[in-house]
Amino acid sequence: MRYGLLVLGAPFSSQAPHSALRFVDALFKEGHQLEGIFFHHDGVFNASTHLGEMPPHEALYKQWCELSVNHGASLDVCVSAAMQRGLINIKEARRQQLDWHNVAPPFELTGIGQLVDLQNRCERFISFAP
Amino acid sequence: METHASLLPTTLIVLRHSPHCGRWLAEGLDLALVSAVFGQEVKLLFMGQGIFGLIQNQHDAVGQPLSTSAVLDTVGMYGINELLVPKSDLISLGIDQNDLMVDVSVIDDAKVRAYLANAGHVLTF
Repeated sequence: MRYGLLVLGAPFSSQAPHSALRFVDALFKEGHQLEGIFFHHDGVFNASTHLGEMPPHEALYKQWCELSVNHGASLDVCVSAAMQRGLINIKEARRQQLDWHNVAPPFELTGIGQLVDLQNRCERFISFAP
Repeated sequence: METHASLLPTTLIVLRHSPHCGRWLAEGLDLALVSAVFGQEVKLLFMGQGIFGLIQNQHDAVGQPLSTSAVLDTVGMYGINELLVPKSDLISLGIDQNDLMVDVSVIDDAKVRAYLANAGHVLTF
């Protein structure tokens, strides 16, 4: 079965991303597929490269990246929610003439349309909220 | 003739936070509008503190009308016509249906369960 996940919690204040990764482990063990993960609300902090370099969050960041590299899962981040929280990728940084960015591949800043598309590609779509 | 949109599963967006509690309500409503634009059939279920988003004449810290109230005024234009409120939550919060700014369907707990069970997707904000 094809699964998609919506993650709405930050790694530093919520169990949601940790639960989502445990769920992913379980669905792979049961032979299911993971199409992608959409990060919205405070879940966008999971895409922060700064948090990804900082203990104890670096292990979580690495696990998200491995889902993309090893399983081809998309890691889409709501661009609106991300920018409200000071998270931007290199493309947005150039557009705004900033010399820093804190979102990098395999995380991609996308719109809600990607979430709708992911929902419609999956047979099961699960929310992980605080 | 059936439209493509009618073949898509219903998205039930559950709103559980008051408008003054971070960006939960605002981002849940944004998601509802964009999903509707992309052809999804969207229903909104206001639960618990989320019902406070429906109270009339609310203002932010600088006295401006709440932006979420303006959004709620427009959901009908996006084809979102089912706004659901559990009767048990209205009673426990002491809110009269007449105090709400938009027309809602007040439903009992059995119907809440049915809406959750029958939705193709349930997204909780």
